Amino acid sequence: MPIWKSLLSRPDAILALILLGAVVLAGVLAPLIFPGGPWRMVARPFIAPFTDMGHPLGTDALGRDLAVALIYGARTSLEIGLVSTCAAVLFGTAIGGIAGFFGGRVDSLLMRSTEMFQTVPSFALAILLVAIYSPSLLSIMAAIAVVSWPPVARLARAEFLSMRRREFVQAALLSGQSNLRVAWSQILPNVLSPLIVMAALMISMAILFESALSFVGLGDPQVVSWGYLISAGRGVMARSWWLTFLPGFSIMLTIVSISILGDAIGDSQDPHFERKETE
Amino acid sequence: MRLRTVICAVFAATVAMAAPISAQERGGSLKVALFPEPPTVVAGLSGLGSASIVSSKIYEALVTYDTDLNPLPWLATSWETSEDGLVWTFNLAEDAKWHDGTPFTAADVVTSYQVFSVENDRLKLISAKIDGVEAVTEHQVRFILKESIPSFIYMMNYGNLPIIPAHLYAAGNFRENPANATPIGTGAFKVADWEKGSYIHLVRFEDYRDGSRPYLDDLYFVTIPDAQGVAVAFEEGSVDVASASNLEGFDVARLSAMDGVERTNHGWEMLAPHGFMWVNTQKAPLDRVELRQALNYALDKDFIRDVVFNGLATPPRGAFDSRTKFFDAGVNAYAFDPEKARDLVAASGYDGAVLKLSTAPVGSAWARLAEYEVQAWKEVGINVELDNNDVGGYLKKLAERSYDLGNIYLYQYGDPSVGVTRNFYSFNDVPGSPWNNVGRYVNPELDALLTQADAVNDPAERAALYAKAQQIIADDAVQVWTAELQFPTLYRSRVRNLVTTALGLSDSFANVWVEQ
Amino acid sequence: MLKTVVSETAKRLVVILFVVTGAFLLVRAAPGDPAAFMAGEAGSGDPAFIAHLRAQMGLDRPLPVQLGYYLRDLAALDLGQSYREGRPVFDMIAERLPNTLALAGAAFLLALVMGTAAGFLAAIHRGRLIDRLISIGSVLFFSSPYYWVALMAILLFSGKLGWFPSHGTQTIGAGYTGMRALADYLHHLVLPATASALFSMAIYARLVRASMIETANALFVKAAHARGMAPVWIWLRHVLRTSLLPITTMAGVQAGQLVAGTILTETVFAWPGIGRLMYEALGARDYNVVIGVFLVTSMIVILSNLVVDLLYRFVDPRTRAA
Repeated sequence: MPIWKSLLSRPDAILALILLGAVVLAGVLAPLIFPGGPWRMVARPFIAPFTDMGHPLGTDALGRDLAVALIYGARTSLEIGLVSTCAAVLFGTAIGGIAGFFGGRVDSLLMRSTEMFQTVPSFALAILLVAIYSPSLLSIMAAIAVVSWPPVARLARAEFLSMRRREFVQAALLSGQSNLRVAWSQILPNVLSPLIVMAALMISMAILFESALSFVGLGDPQVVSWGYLISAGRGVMARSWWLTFLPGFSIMLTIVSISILGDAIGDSQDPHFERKETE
Repeated sequence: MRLRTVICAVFAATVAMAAPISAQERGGSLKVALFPEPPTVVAGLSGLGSASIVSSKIYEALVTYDTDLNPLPWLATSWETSEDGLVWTFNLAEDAKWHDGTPFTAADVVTSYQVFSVENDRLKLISAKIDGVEAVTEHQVRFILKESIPSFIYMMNYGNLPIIPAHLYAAGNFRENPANATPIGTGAFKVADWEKGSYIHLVRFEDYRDGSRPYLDDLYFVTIPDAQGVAVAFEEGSVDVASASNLEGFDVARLSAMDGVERTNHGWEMLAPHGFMWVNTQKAPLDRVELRQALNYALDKDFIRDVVFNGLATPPRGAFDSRTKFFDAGVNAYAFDPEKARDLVAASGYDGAVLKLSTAPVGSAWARLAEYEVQAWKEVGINVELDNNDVGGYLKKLAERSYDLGNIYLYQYGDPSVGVTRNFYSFNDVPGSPWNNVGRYVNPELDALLTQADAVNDPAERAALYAKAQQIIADDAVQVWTAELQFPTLYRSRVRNLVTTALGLSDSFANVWVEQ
Repeated sequence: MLKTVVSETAKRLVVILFVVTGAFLLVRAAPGDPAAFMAGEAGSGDPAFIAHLRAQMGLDRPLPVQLGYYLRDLAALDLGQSYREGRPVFDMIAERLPNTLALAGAAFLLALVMGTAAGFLAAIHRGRLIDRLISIGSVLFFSSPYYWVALMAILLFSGKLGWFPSHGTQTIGAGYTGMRALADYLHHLVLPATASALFSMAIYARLVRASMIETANALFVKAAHARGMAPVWIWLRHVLRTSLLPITTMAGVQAGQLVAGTILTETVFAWPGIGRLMYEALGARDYNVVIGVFLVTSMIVILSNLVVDLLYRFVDPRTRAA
């Protein structure tokens, strides 16, 4: 596999892989490692990090274990990042694909609506949506998907448009295959890789988005998220800065890992990659 | 008619106000942290506490109250009541002027009553018992009651009946009155400029009726949108006064330990903020008294005081706040007893259905409280989920009665008949309103008891009736009581006479001065 | 030419119409309404009073009728009244927009200049220490929630060091005028603007670096080399100029989003701008204010896209009018 090879040839990518792997693992296994959940008050409040090995990262204002909260937060962030990105990529590809494939009126109609969505300031729209449909995992994912699909649609459209003109696509169409079949079996596989690189970037954006929503008080109250931890810690920042610092730091590490991996994958897909880096 | 002087107000006032004053200095400026920014500073137009903190400098009321809740003169210099309690006569300040130069007269009081007996919910509730108000002379006004209202003098407070100018508001239509664009009051300060989102600037009213007062040249109310900002602003000295109602408990402790900072717990006696939880008593399974009692037993009120509110609270014993009159210390309160709570859950036949706890984003202590409650109830086998709303959504849930449990704190307004009993009368369950009997509690026996208690003049008799009512409310676990809240005021030591009455920061500031 | 201008304008007007209608319907889908909120805030719960307020606000009319009135007023550039403050929404936005524009504008310029400079430096020192440092810095800033960076900045620069104020736009009650007042404003602007800029700055730096390296490899630069031009001159004249193209595109997208993104910065720094105005109005269900801010921000996005289109023609003569 060339992707793995190129990833493993870069030390930063290896580090990123390990970090992200740890975050994913922690998130997935959270309920198994800490079946009591993140909300339990387990010790006295405001234990500083690294002072009590029973609670390595200390406790928050109610005496809840910060390490446990961070691990559950990883779960929330990844869940929201993945689901909302999948939704946005599926929807965006469908819209962009149809526009690029059929062209003409369909294209201009769909692209006009896409532009419309890009005109609306995305954070403002997301706040509006989540506030209206009351904050829950579902409404947050939906809001993030709603504001992040347009770039996918544009990319998919451009790719479909150029593929549509290729000889092998024309040939398939002339041979009597249905539009859907051609789009599915001939075009889609060829436009997948730029979409995947874009999806990696969008996951990071979704994680940042979710944290921002939680920060302004629009997180799902049933689950712990990193943004929630930042906003909860903010009130006691002057007293216990680490309660704000550590959740933000977790977001940063996760997104740094994702971007490094995204870059590495993008580079490995790029035919000019070798030449550029060695010159 | 034989008149009996309730209080020789002028004398009492001189004593109460002059005592801590020594050689006031004229001049200087004071910066007060304010949150949230009020939509208006016209008296009585917004129910927000921050609105009345500002508007009470611009407008005045007939009376204010000392920290033991005895009435003190403000625009009224003295007052008398008839023996049967049905006629109240107020003598008004004779040299008071409106900010536009018009003299203040009894007609202003009449107009104000006409406006606020419609616009103010609390006044409206008792207005049926008031026959009318009339100007006896230019500077004397008389209220005539149909039946006695023991709490009448508390109904005259600034929050219910601020005095607005008749020459601008006599025509009616209070809410859309163009005069609302420029607040005109009789207060010691008038509006200079209002930079939206930043500050409201008030300056000394040079024609204030007492030549030497107010002592300050001007006042700034600095709007800061969150507790963290208020703490930083106070710490770095960009505001001189901050109320703990806008601060995190941790910061209150930290900031009051700073050099040159004073702290007072006074100023909240009138409002006595009482934290509790509405329980939708008609909605299964909360219609089971055992389950409601279990909800109460499961909460550790000491933990709430110490950890959630950082010591700035007192565990409540029930629906009456211990700071108000007629509070009965003998009422059986709910001690923390998870064992008993578990037994009661079992006895209630609760099947594990998930209950929703509605909250609004009103500060991180309230978020922590809700999170604690959910955990504490989980320990005794009651499944509760948080239902976070913005303020609009939260009020809607209460008004529609579509909530299960809802955290809130309400003011008690000095007398139970004003602030407390209205939450329990069965006829006060009016869907569409987020206030009064939101818990939908129906108990004819209690209705009768409260009706009597609210109307009796004799304090001892009232006390006995209220004690009985308190026990019924507690036994029936009509609400879940969480904390009597304390909101200390922090201020720089050079600020003098800041909080001298039960209204705290919502008083005139005419006596406030700063050491230069 | 005129035809293009007319059709482009018409297109944008249609977009605005859709945005307004969408926002109009969306805010009304929120639970509760301004009448209930205002009554609630006033401590009043009399249903008759709420109904009275509702009628006063015109909220008792059917939705399409309300929308019709709103659009009619909008055509006359009237954004309606704020229910809560009883003032024209236009005035409320006009009061706060300068602050938002100052914040977003300062952040935008800072990001553009510093980002381009960093990217330029990294590109010409490719593979060396300075390139590494800039790359690491840009990855970190790109990956951090900027409201969190803002909080950390307050902790450090306001709390510990006391260099910059942490909230508001001015020293209240200082009574500064003229240049002193401006300096005071700028002093307050430093932290919020920098915190908002870091994210875009990181994007520009990466973009400029990548784009310049690509251009540098292109043939015409090699040709310039062959003609014997000095390297710095080549970098500035040819490479940077060509690399401006993707930056212009990105800047157009970023400019609009920066305005919306200031909601967070405004909240953290108590900066009185329109982002905070919208957020507060949303909680109070002050419909007209929410729609008004939405409209204004969308128009800023449209305008900045327009500017980008124009710049495109200027920067890259190959682009023809669409």
